[in-house]
Amino acid sequence: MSGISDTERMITLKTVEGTLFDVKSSIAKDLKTVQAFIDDSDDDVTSPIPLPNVFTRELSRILDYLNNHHRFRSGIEKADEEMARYDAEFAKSMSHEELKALILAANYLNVKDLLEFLNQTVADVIQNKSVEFVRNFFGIENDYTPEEEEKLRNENEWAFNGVEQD
Amino acid sequence: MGSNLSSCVCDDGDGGSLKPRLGDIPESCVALVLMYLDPLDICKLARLNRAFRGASLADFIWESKLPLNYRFIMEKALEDDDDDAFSMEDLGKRDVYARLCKPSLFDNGTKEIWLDKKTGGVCLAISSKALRITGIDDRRYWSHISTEESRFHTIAYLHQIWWLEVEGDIEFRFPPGSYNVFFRLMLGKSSKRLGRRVCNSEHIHGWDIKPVKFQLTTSGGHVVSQSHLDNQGQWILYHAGTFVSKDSNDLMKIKFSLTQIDCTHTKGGLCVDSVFICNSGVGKGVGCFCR
Repeated sequence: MSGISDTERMITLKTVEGTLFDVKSSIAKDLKTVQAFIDDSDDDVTSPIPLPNVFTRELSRILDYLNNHHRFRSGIEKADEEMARYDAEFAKSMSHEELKALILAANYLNVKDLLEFLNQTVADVIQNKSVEFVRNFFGIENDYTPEEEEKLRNENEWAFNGVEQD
Repeated sequence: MGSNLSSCVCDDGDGGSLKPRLGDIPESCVALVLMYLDPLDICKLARLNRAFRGASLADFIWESKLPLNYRFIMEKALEDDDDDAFSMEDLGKRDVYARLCKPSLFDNGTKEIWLDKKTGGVCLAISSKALRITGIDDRRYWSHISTEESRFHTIAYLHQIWWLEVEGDIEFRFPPGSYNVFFRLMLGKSSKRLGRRVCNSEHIHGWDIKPVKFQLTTSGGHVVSQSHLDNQGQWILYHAGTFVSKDSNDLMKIKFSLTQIDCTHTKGGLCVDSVFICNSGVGKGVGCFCR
């Protein structure tokens, strides 16, 4: 691999559906899971890296996000504004299902900045909503026994005791 | 870590049946989401399932909700408490937060401190017993009345006086932010008759002639305002001023006063309960003050 600079090297990733994505190594660095794999393989990676937990739709979105953020960061004026606008559109463009799937993928691939952004986005969705709403959103079931629920109610009584609603 | 990637076998059969369920998200990730919510939401969502409860206990979440100088605040909160032998270091940060949300008396029971549950903002109440009131020892002018309508169970009642002067101060390390100072006052004397609350207005006079003056002094400056006292029979929080704390390490001295010293007329029928200081972010002030 002598003579080829890092920024030009391409990494190939393969999704669950078998779709191949060519990714610049500078972008691949943000996929910490992938980067760790590359580091462990002594930089000698030629065949596509399989990502058995990541679907095409999600990887495509993640790469889109990273490519745009790299573009914004490479010294354009007013990048912060553009980036904020892009982020807002990005969040809006997804349904709750897609948002959830993206979090799982971003978490698996360990994409720090995107994860932070997605966490904030999810928090915005579930803020001040009812317990049922949030349960539906996450698709999870209550696994408490009645005794545990009672114990939990006591544990958190301080938070609900005497709270006036404006 | 690297070997996992290529050798990971999808046990759920074909990829299509692997519908992502957010319940599969690890606890650490849930905790990261919870951190963006307010404490009340976090406690509410602990009910979702065990994983959420586990996530809701993460220390880093509650560290971010606690005031920067929570150790100092904890010292004040435990000052009057001989029984509380537990070591603060042993408590999880959520329990520290919960404890600080509980109003605690300090300075020999003349002051009270607590955190607003929702915002973690610092709230302080200073009893009339800690205020310097001109003529307080003269029974012609002032008396102390026991009442459940004060968190200190006692208020100072003015029958009649020419020189009304109520002042006080407090030294404290406030977390950075903006703070409002209020005087909790009521025109008229309230009591219970046959289980119903009754307001005695026999001594009320002089308030419509001239306004009262509020003053607030900090190292940052001096604020003066005027206000007419009204609303008989109701406890009102009169805004005396606002100050800003830049650094929680700064020991700030806050001085505040209420005066009406126009000696051409007397005034009376006033209950002075306390001075209330709270972070500007705390909702509406009034709602959170009442027990």
